[in-house]
Amino acid sequence: MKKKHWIRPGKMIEFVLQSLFKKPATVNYPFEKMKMPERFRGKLKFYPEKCIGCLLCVKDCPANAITIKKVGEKKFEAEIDLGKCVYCAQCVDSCPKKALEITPEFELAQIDRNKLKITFHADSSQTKA
Amino acid sequence: MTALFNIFIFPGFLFLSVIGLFAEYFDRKLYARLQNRVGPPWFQPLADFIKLLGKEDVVPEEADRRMFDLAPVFALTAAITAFFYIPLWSINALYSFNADLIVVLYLLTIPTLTFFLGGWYSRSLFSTIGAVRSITQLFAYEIPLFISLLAPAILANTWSLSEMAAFYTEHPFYWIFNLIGFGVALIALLGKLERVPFDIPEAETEIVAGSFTEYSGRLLAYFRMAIDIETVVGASLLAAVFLPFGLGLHPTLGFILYLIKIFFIIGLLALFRTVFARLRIDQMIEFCWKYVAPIAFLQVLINLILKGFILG
Amino acid sequence: MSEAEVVKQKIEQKFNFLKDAVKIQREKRLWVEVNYEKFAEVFDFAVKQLDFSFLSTISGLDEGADLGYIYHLAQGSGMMLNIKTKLQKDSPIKTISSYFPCAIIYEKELIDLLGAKVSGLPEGRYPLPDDWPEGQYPLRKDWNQDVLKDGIKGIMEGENIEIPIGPQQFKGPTSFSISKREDVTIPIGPQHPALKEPESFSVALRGEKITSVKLRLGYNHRGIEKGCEQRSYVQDVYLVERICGICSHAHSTAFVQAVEEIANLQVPKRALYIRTLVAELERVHSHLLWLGVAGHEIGFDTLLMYSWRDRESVMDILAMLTGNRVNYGINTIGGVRRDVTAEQIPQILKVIDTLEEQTKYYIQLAFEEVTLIQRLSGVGKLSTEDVLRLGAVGPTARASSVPRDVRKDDPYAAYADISFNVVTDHHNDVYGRTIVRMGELMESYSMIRQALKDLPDGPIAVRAPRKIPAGEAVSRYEAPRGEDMHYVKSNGGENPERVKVRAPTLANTQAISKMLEDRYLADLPIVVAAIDPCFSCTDRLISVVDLESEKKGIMNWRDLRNYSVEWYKKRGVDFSRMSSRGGSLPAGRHGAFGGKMK
Repeated sequence: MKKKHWIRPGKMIEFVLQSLFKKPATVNYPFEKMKMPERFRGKLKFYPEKCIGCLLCVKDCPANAITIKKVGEKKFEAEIDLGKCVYCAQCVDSCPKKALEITPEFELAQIDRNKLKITFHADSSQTKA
Repeated sequence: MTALFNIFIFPGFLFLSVIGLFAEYFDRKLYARLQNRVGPPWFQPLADFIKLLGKEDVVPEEADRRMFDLAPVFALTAAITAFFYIPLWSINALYSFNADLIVVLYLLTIPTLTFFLGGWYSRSLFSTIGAVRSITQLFAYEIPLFISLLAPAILANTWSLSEMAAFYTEHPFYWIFNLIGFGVALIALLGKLERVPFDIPEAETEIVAGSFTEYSGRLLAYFRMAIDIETVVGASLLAAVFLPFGLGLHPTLGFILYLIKIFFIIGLLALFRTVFARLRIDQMIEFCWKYVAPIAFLQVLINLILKGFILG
Repeated sequence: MSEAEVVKQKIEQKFNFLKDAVKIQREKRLWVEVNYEKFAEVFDFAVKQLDFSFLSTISGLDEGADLGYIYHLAQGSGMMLNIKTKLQKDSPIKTISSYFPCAIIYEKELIDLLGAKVSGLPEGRYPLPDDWPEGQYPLRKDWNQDVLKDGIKGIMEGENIEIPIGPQQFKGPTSFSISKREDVTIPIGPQHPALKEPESFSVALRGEKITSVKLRLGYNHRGIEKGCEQRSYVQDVYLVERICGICSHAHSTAFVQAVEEIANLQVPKRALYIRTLVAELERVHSHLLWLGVAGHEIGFDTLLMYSWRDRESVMDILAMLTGNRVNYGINTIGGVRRDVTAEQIPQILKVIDTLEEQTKYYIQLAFEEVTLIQRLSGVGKLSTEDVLRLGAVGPTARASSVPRDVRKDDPYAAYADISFNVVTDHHNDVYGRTIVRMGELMESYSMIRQALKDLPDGPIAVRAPRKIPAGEAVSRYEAPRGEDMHYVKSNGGENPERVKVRAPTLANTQAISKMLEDRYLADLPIVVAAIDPCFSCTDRLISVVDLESEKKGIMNWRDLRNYSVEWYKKRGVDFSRMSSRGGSLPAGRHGAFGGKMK
């Protein structure tokens, strides 16, 4: 920073006036939506046909958000509490059969807390508790 | 009858309120755009006002109820009354008499006093500090403001705003001599309106909201309206004193010219808000007395010399 | 002989009873266990003769019948000496605050959380609330939440309890008068628009000048250290990450490094480079955030808007790389979880180029905008001696010409292979800290480019066992705010035995009182903001929700509550994701329980 600096007020004026002619940097959410990158960690997705019931996902979840229930011979269903989930995707990494996947869906707000619990049934249907 | 119409509707209370709200919108929108943001929609200040009117008035237990309630009302009325003496788009203001310049300046000081009184009588720690800062700031900018407004009056040889307007219309382009005073008056106006870099009395990050901390509901709505109106009145005063051209035009054109003038001034105020940081109270006083006041006196000197040349 | 061996020799020569007792864990880590009777001598020797002039923290452990204490000392060159000692529970220990004033708050933490008995400390507790039941020490192994619930039964059933308010009793405004030239005490916090997180400053004023400041912290205490003991190492990576929103990668990496050291895992080079890349990106976003905050504190909102707009591009890059804008979750024990692909690299470089242009503009602004210079200069002065005495870290220290930077002193991740300068400044004040942070931004850009250019090939993680073998390790990391230190002790199981985190802001808070001496009230926000406080990093222990909101109901900060926060929320030392929840009080003269409140 060796060059001479001329100290004066209002240094930002030129920069600021330019912004008058540019588009605002604001995204008009919810009318405009930002597209999330591919790796974005949003809602979980469970593939019941791949699950073998090893429960590693349950063991490794930092928030105790996922529970796996056996509903039949080699049939498992998963209940995920989206309110507890911290969207870390550790369960995705822990699963040896890749039965869990993370999607970029992030608009998950609900007014009723109970609606945040989602069950992925063994027949691939989904319900909210 | 016309008097009542003039006072309450046009260009009195109602007109002033509408222009005040629009001025607030203009200021906030320009500020936002300069910061690369979107800014509020046009009805935002009106919506804020209506919302505040509908909220509960919460008054601290220890506050002096009478002063607490009256302070905003005084601020509002003083600001509006000052407006009547300023020539807007014609040479004659609504009401004029000799020395009405002094009266206008006095009326414009009242809102600051009411900020102090409102804050002081709130009896809350943060309000008191804000109130005291308001008054301290008054000592800094008031003198430059007065002196710089006196300079054109000296040139025009009269203390009445309307007669000043007449003088400058007679001698077109004389207002160019007063431009230094215009600069000084702008800076001083920033202080009076308590805007950055002089918004110390209401420094949100330090004392929450200064004098207005304990105000809510109706009373806060009045205070905010008073500030908006004070902005318009201050801008009009500056326009009348320093930009007194085009006053004899056809009414509609004159009206539009008037609007352009005050929004130009308000735009400059918004620009200043954008590019400066807030000064501390001691720095502000130092700045005003060391730099601004001498320049104001300089302007007076220039005008005295000119008066000798032109009229002598 | 290596440096560590030199130090080991010196200690063993001086003290016979320590023959062969000093263990060298690795290049810059020494451990020695001492009986408490001999502790004072050894400590004095280490500090005075061996120039261990910096105290990182004091870790306390519950070891059954005893309480263990570990004093983590460091030299300027990065060498660490960890002195372990233990004493029976309920036995008093002497304070070391005569050597290190910053030890006061570490010892208060030991008293509150472990029930240590340390005498000679000033009043005030940290971090537990004032109405915490007597005799309950959360970090002891026999304590859990049920014990707490019994203890606060009275409060939950609505008994009125006398609670001291803050560091001193706050007298209502009618008790001061401007005519008598008395000191007026203003409470700043716990809720105040100037504070992004709750902390309480009791500021005694004379007119506009501050005569003294009392600091009360602990409002953001969430129980993370205890929580770590109850979860497995894999789960803890995510818990530790959420200590803070801005320096989340710092905590996550520091923890993972400590665990990897205990388990003796060889993390692949590519993973180290990716960790470094994310670390520097985090530093960029944190410093840009700070710039905005500083601008907001002094009323210069335009700077806030522009720097945060630029910060958005960094957040987008981080989301693209790691999957989230904050709390990246990129670390795992043994490496990283996500790889950098070839397509991502040019995108990152493009963003860095734009940011560099913008930062150069901000630097120019800092040198030329007169209102900025006026507000920031001469404020928050901290001389070099003060920094060394009070143990300040990070840019706060570097702005007083102390070249303390863990990346250079004790390199971790890939920092040993990347060349960079430690930015220092001689101004000793907030202006200096601004210059240091902006200089660090420029250094970070260069580091990011180097890391991307030299990214080695290979795997991104090694397999880590679920049960980490017994051992202990200290891991240091240069977070954007200063030195972050994690101490992890393992007993061979799946859950750690003890996790101790000392975040940089705790080390810097000691300096606040000194910086505010003889300054104006108007300078308080910017001085506090200048250490870039992250109180979420600083307080980490359990507060039962009921207790908190109940306490707020009884402690009716009436004047504070009624303030209208019309204009706008404020600064961002932290996103307040971790801010205290506290129920909202109904506005009004009467608190939540009716009746007049004193």
